[in-house]
Amino acid sequence: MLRRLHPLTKLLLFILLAVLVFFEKNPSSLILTLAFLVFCAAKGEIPPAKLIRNYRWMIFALIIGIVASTMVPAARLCLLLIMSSVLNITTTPTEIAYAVGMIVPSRDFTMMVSISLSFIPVLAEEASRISDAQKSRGAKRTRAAVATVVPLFASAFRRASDLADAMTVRAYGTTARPSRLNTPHFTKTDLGAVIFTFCYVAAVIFVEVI
Amino acid sequence: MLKATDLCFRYGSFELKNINLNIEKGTFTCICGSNGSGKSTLARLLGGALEPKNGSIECDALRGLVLSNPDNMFVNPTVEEDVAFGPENLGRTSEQIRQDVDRALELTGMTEYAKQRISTLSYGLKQRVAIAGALAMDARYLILDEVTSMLDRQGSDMILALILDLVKQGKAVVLVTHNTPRRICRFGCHHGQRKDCCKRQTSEDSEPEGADGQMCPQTALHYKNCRQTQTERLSDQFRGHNTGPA
Repeated sequence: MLRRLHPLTKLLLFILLAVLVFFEKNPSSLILTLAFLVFCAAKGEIPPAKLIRNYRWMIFALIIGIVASTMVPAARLCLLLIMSSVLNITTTPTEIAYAVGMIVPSRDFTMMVSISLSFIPVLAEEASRISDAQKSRGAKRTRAAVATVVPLFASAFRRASDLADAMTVRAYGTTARPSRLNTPHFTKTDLGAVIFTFCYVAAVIFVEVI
Repeated sequence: MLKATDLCFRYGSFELKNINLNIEKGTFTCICGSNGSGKSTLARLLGGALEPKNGSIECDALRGLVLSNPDNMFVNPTVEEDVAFGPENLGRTSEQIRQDVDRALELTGMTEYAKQRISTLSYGLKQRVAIAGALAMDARYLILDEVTSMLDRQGSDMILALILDLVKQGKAVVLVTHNTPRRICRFGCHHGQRKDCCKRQTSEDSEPEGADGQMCPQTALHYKNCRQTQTERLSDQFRGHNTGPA
């Protein structure tokens, strides 16, 4: 169900929840937020393992938080990461860019966001490849890190140049208002999601005030 | 007709000078040359990605350019979304875009992969997606820059078969490659490419040279269409104007 929501609904609710987390001081409201996120993950058909796979260090952050008596900030950070995971898994970069485009009506800006998001894994893979190549040539750890940055930038610029050429020949920028193959529409599900989220926000405020 | 007249381009010490080409619809043209001879620059000029410093390019229909590394060409994550990028930029309606995308995917044999993420596809299939992206715009002239260079034999054959199909359907295909035209000629011969499918052209009205055309008489015309002679001339030009370190 979460995947069928309009991208703009998801993005705005994500911003609302992210802001709300910073005002949560009571452990009960933090637990309530966690429960809400678990519910969202279940509705988005996200396996729990996938949700925390990239953030295993969250456990250490929480332990350090307990030891250093900074449990609440550590928990907030973890909740933010889980929240962004839910958004990323249930929304494609194209959809996020589309939602950003509805807030900031600039085609170039939207395209920039979309391409930046889609190029992150590509550049990460490239960095890993270059690093391996430098290590195989005998570069030490620190040196390999430095030696990775320059070729990575060169590669990124080459890719950017190729992509710019590809976009030019595919008529990018020829019309001020390009059309879309699939245009997302607001449905009753979006309304339900908004009402449900506001109920949750009211509950958190209630817990914090009481 | 895609016509390049006295095309000149220069960056740094590299220079392309006075290139004349005539590409007609329904023809298959190979531009061959060694590394650094300016093939890709010429392809980008013909494709419209670069503006010539001097000379002109006239074209009576849309052109499509496919680069050697398809990974650098994709804007959207899934096959159909990326193929739709061109028609979307042309401001076509959703229904038209859907038709264009379906047609392009059918032409390239990628219909079953429409919803798939591009990152999960093999290199050969990615090249097909890139070609589909150009076809979806209804490009009559396809400029393919080393599209087979990073593929194995099987992947390369898959792309060559697709190219020959497109030529049969009336598209003009310009293949920039460092593979020998002999291989492409044999491939065409093996796949029953008709002699009259390709029309011989040279930038200057002289006969193409080389023993390969005689060696493979069944597709002599097809081979002649590959621009070995012209490429040799282009290489000579580049050699004359490349003043940078070798």
